[in-house]
Amino acid sequence: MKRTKSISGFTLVNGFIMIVVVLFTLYPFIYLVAQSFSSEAAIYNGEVSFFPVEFTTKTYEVILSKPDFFRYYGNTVLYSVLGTVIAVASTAVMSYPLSKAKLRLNKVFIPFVLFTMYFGGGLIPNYILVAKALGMRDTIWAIVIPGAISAFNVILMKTFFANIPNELEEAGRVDGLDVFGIFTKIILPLSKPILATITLFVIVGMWNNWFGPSLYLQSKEKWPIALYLKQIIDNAVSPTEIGAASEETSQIAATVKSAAMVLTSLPIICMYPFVQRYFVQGMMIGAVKG
Amino acid sequence: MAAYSQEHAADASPLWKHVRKEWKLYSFLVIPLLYFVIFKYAPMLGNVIAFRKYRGGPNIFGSEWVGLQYFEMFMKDPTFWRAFFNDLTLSVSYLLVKFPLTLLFALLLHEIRWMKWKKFVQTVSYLPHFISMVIVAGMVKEMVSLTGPINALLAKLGMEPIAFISLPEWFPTLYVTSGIWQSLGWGTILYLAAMTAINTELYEAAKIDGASRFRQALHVTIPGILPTVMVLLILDIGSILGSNFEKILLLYNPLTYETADVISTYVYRMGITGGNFSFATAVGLFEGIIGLILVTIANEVSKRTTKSSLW
Amino acid sequence: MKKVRKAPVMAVLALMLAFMAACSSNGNDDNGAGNDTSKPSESANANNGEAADYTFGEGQTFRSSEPVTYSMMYSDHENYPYKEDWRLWSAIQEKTNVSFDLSITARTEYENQKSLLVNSGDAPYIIPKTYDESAFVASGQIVPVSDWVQYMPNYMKAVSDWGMEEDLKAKLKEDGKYYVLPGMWEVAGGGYSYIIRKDVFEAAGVDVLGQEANWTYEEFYEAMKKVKEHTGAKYVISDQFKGESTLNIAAVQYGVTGGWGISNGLAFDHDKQEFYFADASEDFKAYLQYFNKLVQEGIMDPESFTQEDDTARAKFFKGDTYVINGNYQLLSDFKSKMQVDGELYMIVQPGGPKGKLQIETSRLENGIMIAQRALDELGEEDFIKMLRFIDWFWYSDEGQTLALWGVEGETYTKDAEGRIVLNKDIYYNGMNEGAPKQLNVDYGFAGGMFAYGGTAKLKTSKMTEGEQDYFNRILSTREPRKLAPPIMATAEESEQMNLIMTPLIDYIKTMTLKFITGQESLDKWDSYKAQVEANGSTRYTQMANDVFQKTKSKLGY
Repeated sequence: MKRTKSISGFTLVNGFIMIVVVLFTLYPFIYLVAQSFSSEAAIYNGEVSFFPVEFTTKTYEVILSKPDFFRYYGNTVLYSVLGTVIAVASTAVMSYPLSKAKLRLNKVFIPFVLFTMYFGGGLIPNYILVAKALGMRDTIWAIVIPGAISAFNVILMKTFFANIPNELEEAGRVDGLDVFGIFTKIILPLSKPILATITLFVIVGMWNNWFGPSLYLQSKEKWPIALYLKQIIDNAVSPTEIGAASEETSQIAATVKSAAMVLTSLPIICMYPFVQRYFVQGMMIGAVKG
Repeated sequence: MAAYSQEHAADASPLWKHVRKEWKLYSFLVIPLLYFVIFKYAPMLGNVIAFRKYRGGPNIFGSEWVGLQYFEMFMKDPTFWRAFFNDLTLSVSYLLVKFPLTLLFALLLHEIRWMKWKKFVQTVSYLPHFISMVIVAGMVKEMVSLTGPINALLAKLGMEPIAFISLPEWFPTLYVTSGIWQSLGWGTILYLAAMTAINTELYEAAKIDGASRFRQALHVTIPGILPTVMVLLILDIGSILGSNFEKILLLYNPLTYETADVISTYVYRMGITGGNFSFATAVGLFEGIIGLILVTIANEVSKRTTKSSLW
Repeated sequence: MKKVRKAPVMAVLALMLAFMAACSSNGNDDNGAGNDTSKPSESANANNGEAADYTFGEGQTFRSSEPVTYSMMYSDHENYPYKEDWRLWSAIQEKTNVSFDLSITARTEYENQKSLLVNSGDAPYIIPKTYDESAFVASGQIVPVSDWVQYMPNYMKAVSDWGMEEDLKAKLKEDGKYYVLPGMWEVAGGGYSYIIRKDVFEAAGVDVLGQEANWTYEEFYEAMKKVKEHTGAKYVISDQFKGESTLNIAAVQYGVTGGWGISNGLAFDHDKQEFYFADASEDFKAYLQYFNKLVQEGIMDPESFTQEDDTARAKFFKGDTYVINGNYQLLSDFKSKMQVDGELYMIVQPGGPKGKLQIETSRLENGIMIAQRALDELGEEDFIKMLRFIDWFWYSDEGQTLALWGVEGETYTKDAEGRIVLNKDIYYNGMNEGAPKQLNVDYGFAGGMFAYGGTAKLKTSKMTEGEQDYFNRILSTREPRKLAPPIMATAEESEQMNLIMTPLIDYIKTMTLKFITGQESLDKWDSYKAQVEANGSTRYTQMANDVFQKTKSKLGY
């Protein structure tokens, strides 16, 4: 009797805490959306809290009617897709042999890879390497190659591969598959969760990347949306540039930041619930032993 | 691909035979390992310009030896030391808040029995992890701006508005709070994974002994996830001089340098903005070495006390 | 830059090569600044004429017989974003057969990218829009252009006709050379000052027109105080540019440095002939006290130093505030944006303890650096050809007029007296208010990259009557001031001084704002002085003076 009561009390408190966490997490998004649809006056007077005040879609209309925004968006899509293909493929190719205990040289290779998690060249040596020594400045390669493989992702994937029962590979070998065939026909199809996880990590990293592009890409036409967004937030984009008529400039100036933030994060927010199932699975299997 | 020639041509030794036998698997590694050599190890080698004067080429490793000149220079620079201590302060305060909160949140999530609700809370709380730092910083600025919701709330409470973004005393709070916002949910994933791996018989046994849920958490769950906790703690300690560079760069301004300028932003200003490549590399190298030392110490301590370690 | 993209595999090979190169060559093929610039051959050394494949000279259009392309950095301004089809580009090409391979960089990223490109030795040939070349001299990546100006007839003519020799001294470095081709005006400009709501000031009983010539900052304060009392406004001034411009122009009158012009915090004592650290002096304290007073008494919005320009302007347009810093171009722009009726007026800059000084004494503008790469890759002859193109475009009257006004008959015409008249359908700088097209946005002319130099006539041609009036008021009521000599430090010395200066100035900037906004009490002045000292101000000043002693003979002191 006493026990049941204490449980329900705890459940209540726990439920309350969870609601607080959910609100704390969601509120900034709600505020941004509300602000992006509100009038200039309402924003400057601090009247917006949960819902748009004096609803208007002006800013979205202006942003979405300009080709600029889509160009930066397109760049981001290109970098994300290409970067993800390169990163996931090379991570998988690397992780597979590293997951094989029978490979004696792994004793050398794994620490070699792991060490890079704890130490690296700094900002400047990396810049000199990528921009100067490799001549990747102002090219897409500077964005999609230097971060392609991370030790962390390799360890995750290696652990996942190591947990695939060996019998499956043996069966493949009996069927006459060579190492490459086993890898592509047996291992990869069984590894969807971890592939989805790494894909998500990389795609998000690429989508959100602004610092690399700010160092390596001078040509504005190659910028990804994240860097353009940073310019908007820093007020380095004039309302006229976005396409506002002169009487709209102050309204645009007041809401362009929140509207651009909403538009930029939208794809990630939309995509993420669908892959969440996979990445939780992938993280868990990869991490329990790792 | 002449992959087998890439490693140790130790003649006719068993190792050579082994490589020869497994060459197909090893050949997978050629390009990725080359990638590591170029993109991870070459920049480490590039750190040599901390001891050499870099003059823009053609030699990308600098033009002449200057020894420890740049190290002496920054050691004498009070701004460096300010950045050093800011780094420590920000990371330690973030760690002190984040670590218990994340653990507590994971334990509470673990206790939720209504699966749909649990799923929903998880989905929501992981979300910020995927938001670009540019947006996170933009959100922080909007939230704390003078016309933003926090100041509106203060006004309702009859308080004077606070210009959070330009007051150095508020910077650590902004940094820590936004960090919690970003990582609270995400940080629980590994704990939850570890919790599901705990043998359910242990809980059964505890229940038979009449342990309350609180006691179960204390005596079963926490010991069960201790190795995970320790590993994460070691990693965090290793990065104690690695405050979140991007976020600080996006959030700080000259008014808040006093508490916000950390080693990496200092390297950025001296190196990228100021063009002092060698000097900035020296500072960065110093930071990297301290990090390496810290993570090694933390690992050893953990190995001896809790038997869990990274390597 | 539209270069061939190296495939990643190539990149791998390149790195391997780089490793080897690094091991073998220990920087002996390093091209130090100027050490191999054996004096150019005499062959091309005519001041006017026709070289192998191009024409150039005083009063003659540069024209290459073959099309040539020069790489150039370009700072893309958000108010007139780059367009490939601007008439500017085609007009240059038509006249000279020159086109550019532009590295287009957003204005906000320009300084960083310039620093990165130059310091890593990959800069485009022409690097315009350079305000301070000092940091690049040590890199050896910039041509000591003073060795080459004899090949630039229009430049030489401007220097001698306008007497720019003295002005150019400010650009000299330790080796007695200069590394930047500055924009040159025959006469100095009006510069930034305060745009005020004249109607409001007058309503508050301030005789603006009668008094402004005599105003010091203290009297300007009295006037603003009257405005505050009269209107009951929360603040009289809520500034834009994060206060940088105001701090800059006020610093001049207080004998210190601040804001945009903070530089290194040094001032020069012309009597003692030495530098002293101004930004920890009593003058500096008075300067801080002044602004602190404005903030304390609710005349100046403390947000002035942090808010975005748009916010500051919004307050002014809405009639919430009555003073804002700006230049005359902005004043014209603001007139069309006011949301309340009011008369805008630009006062001359108030004076201060050091007198009533002209802010803009230098007739030099930001300028062009030339990458050492250009000389290495083009070879001497073609390098000189490029210089002659630069000479025509930036320093000939024809080039300057093109950069500013565009093409005669298309964007402007000349009246009977030869004055330039902008076409009626084009807006620029307050002229032709409400015209459908804009000279900079739609045509690319009059942009900050190219149009910043020329004769007094050209300068006044772009002024509206109001601006000319402002310009004349400054000349008649403000005195010219003496400039500090340049610090001609060696590469080694500059590097060391830079390393002290960067954090020192950061600290001063931070504290300036804190003292002004009251976050830090001026009672803490002594600890501020101690901290400035701890940051190396004395050492820095000492180094500056040592350098000055060593080099003053070259400067004619």
